[in-house]
Amino acid sequence: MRRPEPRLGLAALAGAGLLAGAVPAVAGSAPADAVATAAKKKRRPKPRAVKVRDNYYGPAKLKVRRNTKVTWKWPSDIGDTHDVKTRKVPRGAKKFQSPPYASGAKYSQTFKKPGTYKLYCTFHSTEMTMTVVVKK
Amino acid sequence: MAVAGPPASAAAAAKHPRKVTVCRRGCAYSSIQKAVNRVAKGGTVRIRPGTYVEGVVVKGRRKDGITLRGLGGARRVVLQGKGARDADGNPAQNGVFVDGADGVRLERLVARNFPANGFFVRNARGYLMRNLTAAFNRSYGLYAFNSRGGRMTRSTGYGHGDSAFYVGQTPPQKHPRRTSLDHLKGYENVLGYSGTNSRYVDITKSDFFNNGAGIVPNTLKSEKYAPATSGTIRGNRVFWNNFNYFKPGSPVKPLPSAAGSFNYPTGTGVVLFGVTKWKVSDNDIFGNFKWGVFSVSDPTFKPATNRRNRVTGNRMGGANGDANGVDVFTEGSGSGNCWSGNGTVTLDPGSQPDVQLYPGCAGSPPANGRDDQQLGEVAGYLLQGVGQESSWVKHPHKRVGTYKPIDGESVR
Repeated sequence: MRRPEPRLGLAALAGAGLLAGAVPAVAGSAPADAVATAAKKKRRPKPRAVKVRDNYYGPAKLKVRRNTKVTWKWPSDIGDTHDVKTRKVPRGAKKFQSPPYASGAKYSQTFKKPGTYKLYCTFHSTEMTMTVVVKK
Repeated sequence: MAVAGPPASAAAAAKHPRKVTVCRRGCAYSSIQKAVNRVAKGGTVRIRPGTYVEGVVVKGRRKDGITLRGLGGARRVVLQGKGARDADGNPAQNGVFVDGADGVRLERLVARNFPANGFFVRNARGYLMRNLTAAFNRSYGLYAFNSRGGRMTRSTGYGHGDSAFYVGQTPPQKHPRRTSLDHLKGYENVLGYSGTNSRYVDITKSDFFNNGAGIVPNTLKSEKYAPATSGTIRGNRVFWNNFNYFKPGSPVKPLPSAAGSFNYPTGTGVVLFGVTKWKVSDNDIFGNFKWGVFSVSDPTFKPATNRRNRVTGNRMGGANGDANGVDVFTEGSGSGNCWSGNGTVTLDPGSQPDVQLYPGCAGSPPANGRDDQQLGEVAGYLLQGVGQESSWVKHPHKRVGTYKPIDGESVR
């Protein structure tokens, strides 16, 4: 059986850059799905990174938009054992706790509910804390 | 017609057997983790000799009381950290990590080269770590945190960037379950034993030698339940702790010091750092080139003030034919700290005991008095790294069994 020919729409060609210069860049001329994709991309917040060090998070306070993915990064070489755990979250938000890591590890969470999240390291709970404020 | 299935208990036993065996090839399980996931509460995972490139996690109450036992001798089952990955794709951090499971037994295993710890128990009531070897893990060898009771015994730790054995953040208890550390060997680590805010710990019949410092109970702000309290250090040999890991090329890299800009002391046998009600008695403490017993408080954190500690009946350098730089040193802070029956000791300062710095233990608890000059001497020493060695009082050692002193040099 013959395989059907792949359908190459304008959007695909545009995505591949093949239409660059061939089609005038007039607002509203792109197909609806390409516009939607672009808009969605625009809406998606930039991921943020937090360093995990002895004995602090850097930064210790973070303001982000909804649906921001935050990644905690442990040092690549050497460090004491730390984790990140929620102490307080907005109503309806999920609590979380990372495994304990010392080095070479990453751990991510996406913050979906607006509000203030208080976080801490369970090994150094008296001094190693951070706050994430999620804006609406 | 209804067909009777196997009895519920038989089905459960098949799903979660009491005994499982792991080996590299030819067993039902080639991974220790898979066997742990399957074994029943209270069951046993028997591990045949071999090298297993994995970190094992024992998590939750459903794993209470399980045993992980190496077969074929104490050092024939090796958990190798180099190249081991956890389920998230991160480097596996610990040889075995027991989290929230009570009474787990770890026996006859080796853990080496993990980025965090060899054997790590957290949030448990009781555990047994027996016949374990931890080597060149980056932080701790055998490590217990936020746990009540437990025992580390007949185990060895070397090459760690913090300590071979660690008990930290012990929750206060009305009827304490004590933690026993006995018949251990800790050598060529930054610290032999360390315990931040640990309670009810008895360290006995063990050898701590060739570390930066031998036995170091301590109090820090960073963990809960300050101060470290109610511990004993009895019947140990604490000697030759003259490992200068600050030297370039040392295979042991110290973790960044938890004491801020201060380094840990090297050349030191026993350190009492801001602890309460610790008894140091009947130990042999010798051949440490800076201090035999070193007692100091943290002037910036009130709970880390030495109180009601007793250093009695120890055989110090001279009695063992192998002098310490100075047998005992304190800056005199706190209250109720006393020194008695340690034979002829060398003191800093002076040749006669200063009654405020070194009061005896007879009668009512002594008043102590801080001497700022002594404190200044401590600060000057701890601000140095590799240069700490320049003030050591070096000399050849008396032989101790088959052990060899390293005296400032890196691990062979």
